[in-house]
Amino acid sequence: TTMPEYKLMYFNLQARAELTRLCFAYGGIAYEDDRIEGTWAERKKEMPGGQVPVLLVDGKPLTESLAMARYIAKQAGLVPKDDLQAAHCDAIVDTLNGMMPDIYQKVIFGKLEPAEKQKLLKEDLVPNKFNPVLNRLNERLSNQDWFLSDMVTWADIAISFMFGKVAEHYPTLLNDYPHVKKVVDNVQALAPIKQYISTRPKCN
Amino acid sequence: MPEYKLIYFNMAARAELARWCFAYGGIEYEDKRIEFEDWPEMKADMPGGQLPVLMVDDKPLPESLAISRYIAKQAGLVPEDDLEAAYCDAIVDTLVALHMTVIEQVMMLKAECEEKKRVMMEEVVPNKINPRLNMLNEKLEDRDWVVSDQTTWADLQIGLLFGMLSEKFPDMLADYPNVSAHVEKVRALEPIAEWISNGPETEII
Repeated sequence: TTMPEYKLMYFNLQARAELTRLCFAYGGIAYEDDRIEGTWAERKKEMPGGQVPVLLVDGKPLTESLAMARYIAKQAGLVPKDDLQAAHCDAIVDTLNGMMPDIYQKVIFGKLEPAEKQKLLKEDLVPNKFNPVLNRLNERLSNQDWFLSDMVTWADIAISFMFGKVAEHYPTLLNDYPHVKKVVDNVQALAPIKQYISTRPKCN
Repeated sequence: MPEYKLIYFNMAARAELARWCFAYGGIEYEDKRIEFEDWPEMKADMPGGQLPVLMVDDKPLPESLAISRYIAKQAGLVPEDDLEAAYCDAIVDTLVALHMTVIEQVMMLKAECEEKKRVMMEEVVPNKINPRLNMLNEKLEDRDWVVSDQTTWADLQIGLLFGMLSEKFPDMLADYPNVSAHVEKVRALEPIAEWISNGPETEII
């Protein structure tokens, strides 16, 4: 069977498209990475629901960032066959995705001064939002290499992306969570991911 | 078959889609509804400190959509084809976000009933809900089911969300006859109709 033609449309931003991009990279799957620059008002009209990201599959649009990430993850062999294991991956990805507004709206694109952002991270986001998830994951990962123990899944990719992103702005984030740090690092070290990270456009 | 226990509050909100999938598939489960007063004690035991949680042979699975998708699969409500499954995921994600918008921007608004109604009718309905209804109405023009040629959990979500909303806001589907007909069709499916009439009464959508 021939592979469909894929075109991913989003801003020049990681945020809600990067998980899909990382899954494409892991699977060695070719796609057009269309990054909208400065003409969102014009492009918005062509996007179903007026939102991005959109993934065109042989010209037909698939919306919703997690629906497309899960789909590409499947094509890349990153989703387990067992329904319950797949559900646990879905669950952690949903939880991590829930952190996106905190990371992007409050920290990266927030209007606060850098010092105030650090304070927000230190006193609110890190202890209240991120640490509870990190704690749970650190325990789970203490005896195993990956979220699902013996296979890399899109859950690991999501863990690496999200916490890697926060750590860019709060470098001590993973100090108390060495098992999570191990996954963050090990995903980034996977050959196709490492290659992708070294050549991807520089953006938030 | 594993032993299932779905733990949530006595409301529709984030558990009802899973309950509909259980009903459609004729799958046995314990539908545990807890009181708000009992929640603080239980919170620490739930992964992520949130509900719903699905206990599968006593092991917890959190996150409402992960739960719903898993039960949908057990009930035969998820297409085999990856891309069709993805279209279902996308429709469900969009409609769940819409539901949350109504809850957050209208139901939970700290305002008088009149103001809540105004926000709903003048802001949320025209700006958020109608564009989605338009999209669905077009999609449902020449099809029996919204994705592929089978009933999927995306159809159930349409019947669930717009059924609940149109009960509270009766003219909501007036301009969207395909959606209206689809809501009725889904709600008339035998196991769903049975659940709607015999399941616990919940005020909170």
